[in-house]
Amino acid sequence: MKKLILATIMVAALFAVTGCKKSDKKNGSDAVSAIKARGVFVLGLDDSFPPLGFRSDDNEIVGYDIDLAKEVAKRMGVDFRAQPIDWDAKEMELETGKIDCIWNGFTITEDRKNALSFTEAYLNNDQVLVVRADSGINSLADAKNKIIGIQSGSSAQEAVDDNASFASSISKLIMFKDNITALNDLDIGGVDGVVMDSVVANYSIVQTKKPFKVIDESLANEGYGIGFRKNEPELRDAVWAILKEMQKDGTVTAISQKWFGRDISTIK
Amino acid sequence: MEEIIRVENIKKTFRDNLEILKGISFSVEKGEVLSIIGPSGSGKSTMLRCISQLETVTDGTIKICGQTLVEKGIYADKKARHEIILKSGLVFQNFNLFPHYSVLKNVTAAQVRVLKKSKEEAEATAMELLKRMGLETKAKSYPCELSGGQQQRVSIARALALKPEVLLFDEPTSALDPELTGEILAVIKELASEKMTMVVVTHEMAFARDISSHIIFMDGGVIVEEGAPEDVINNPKQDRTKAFLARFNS
Amino acid sequence: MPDRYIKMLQAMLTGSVTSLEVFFLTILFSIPLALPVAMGRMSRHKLLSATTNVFLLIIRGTPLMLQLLVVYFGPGLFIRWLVLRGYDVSFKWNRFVAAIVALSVNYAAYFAEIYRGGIESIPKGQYEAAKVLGYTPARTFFSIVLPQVIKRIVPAMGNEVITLVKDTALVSVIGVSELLMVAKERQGAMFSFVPLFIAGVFYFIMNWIVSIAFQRLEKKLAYYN
Repeated sequence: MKKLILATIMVAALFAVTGCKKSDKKNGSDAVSAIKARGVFVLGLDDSFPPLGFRSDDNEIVGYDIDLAKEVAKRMGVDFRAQPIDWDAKEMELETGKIDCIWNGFTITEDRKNALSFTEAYLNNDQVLVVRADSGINSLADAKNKIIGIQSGSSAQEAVDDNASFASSISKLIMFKDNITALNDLDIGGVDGVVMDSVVANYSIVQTKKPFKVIDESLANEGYGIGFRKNEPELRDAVWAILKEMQKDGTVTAISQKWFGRDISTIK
Repeated sequence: MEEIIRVENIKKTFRDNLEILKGISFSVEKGEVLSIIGPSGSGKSTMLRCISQLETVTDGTIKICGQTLVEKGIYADKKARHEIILKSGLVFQNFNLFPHYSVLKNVTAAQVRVLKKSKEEAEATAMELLKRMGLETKAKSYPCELSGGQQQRVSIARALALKPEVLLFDEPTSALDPELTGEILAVIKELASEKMTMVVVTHEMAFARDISSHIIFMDGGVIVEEGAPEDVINNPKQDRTKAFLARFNS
Repeated sequence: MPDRYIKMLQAMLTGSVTSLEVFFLTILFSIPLALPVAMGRMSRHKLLSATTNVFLLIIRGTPLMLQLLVVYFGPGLFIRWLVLRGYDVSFKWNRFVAAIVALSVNYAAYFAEIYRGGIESIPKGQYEAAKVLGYTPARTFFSIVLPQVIKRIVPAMGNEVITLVKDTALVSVIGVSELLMVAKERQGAMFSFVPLFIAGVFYFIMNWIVSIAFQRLEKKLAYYN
């Protein structure tokens, strides 16, 4: 009996602690001041998503999104921290306050817009099929009966689903924790193609010099946005306002040049 | 009379250069009961273990029932060694019964596995032996349920089941409470009266004197004195024998 | 029931079947494999026992997740390296097979140490009694030693098997869709904790069954001490 009481108390205490954290965030209008009070803006990312957010050779987290976010944080007057997370757990990390936003080549989708406060698109992207250069696959139709890999929890799944003929023609869909593992598997022949973001695919192929190629047909055209907690739209608005400023004063153009060789930003 | 055991000049040195047997020779005739007495470390257990092949000798000759186990340090082949090992039975100080077998299975197991007897034949032999040991009611029990004396009696039945020519005992009562010692000594006495050839390493002087036809006193890896029980125990000639027996004076 | 929940249950059912397959196949291979490994470790040949010891240190000393990655990607990358140098080789390493291999080898290492502990705890007297009764070393091992070892190692084995039930989740790292990965994916897609909760219940039930099975086994072997 004593053990049962003790267990109940412990469970209740656990809920109280986690419950307390949530109540901090309930009062939405405080979101921006809350961040300023905490003094740090935490960005959640899958740190294997170049060139948007990934690890450099010195194991630093770098990328287009990181550079943008660092500048935003600076202009908000707070520190910046990039927090690597399990991509499947991104919603949980955001919900429980471990991160303040999801900013990592995060595709805007209807489902996601229902659950989060999304900015507009700051970059355009396509979901494309990456294959081995010597595989003889030159179009989506050639992927018939092939094994395709995607990152679990990414918008690639939706892109595949939205292409009925493609989805029904492939033989199997394999899920990976991240795109790097998926591409490694492509390299050794475990999968015949990987559906992923064109932005990342093009960057990876150039950087790693792997014998891959990108099929020209796009499976889905998407926009990258930044996801905030549903009840913190004012934080989203504040960040987006800063980004628009940055676009106007040329900061975004400079960062885009650094990573893409030209200004491909869609911030207006 | 048939010579069951012949041991000639056996020597044994352990790996750390400890010479435990320094040249032992003796023989045991059919129907004889040989007791070996001596202080700890004298080599008497080692010698028994050499005869039953649990140890190897570094030099010397051992013959069992005329068959050569080892000649001047050279051992016979595997087949011969297997035949010879079945000629003797060994009863351990710590019984060493198989705890996962019932009492009955302890006694039948080797008959079936090694002698290739049928299960019925083996069980018949086993029950008869258990009856002689007064343990027929314990056939289905497990060793952990038996007293030390009972376990030792099962151990003797197990050895006898293979119908050996000679039964070797390595301090059979040393691990038993004094009250239980008697039952084992009684069993051995009865086996002696049935003319079973036996070699008993023991600390029980009175017992050694009463049932043996021959006694050997070992010390420091050699036989110091041997002879009829009355001679060795009652009238020891050697000083070392006297000193040893003085400890047991009751 | 809403369509998304049906889809979730279907996906999770497939995932749990995969998890079960991984579990049973690993048990099937690792339990026998561990015996020669234990023998190698206990061998009197210094070279054999030293080599086995190094193997055990590596397998037990590195993360299972790492071993999965090495076993799966290692051969593939090596083949690519050969192809780039002009060798005409091709090799397709099935990810499920790789997962079973990695898990079986890993668990064989843990089981081998448990077997060794059990075998070394059998008193010398058992071997001696068997020998004087004419038993061959092989017969002694299988009839006298092994049954006693099994009784002694049941509790430790139960622990490892329970760990294995949970370790099956690691195969997702090489793309084998077991239950936990499916649950996490559905949780992300459905913005709901329900899939994870269901996955938790599944693992709990599986381990409950395993615990009961081992308790029964312990009881069955308690007919002697």
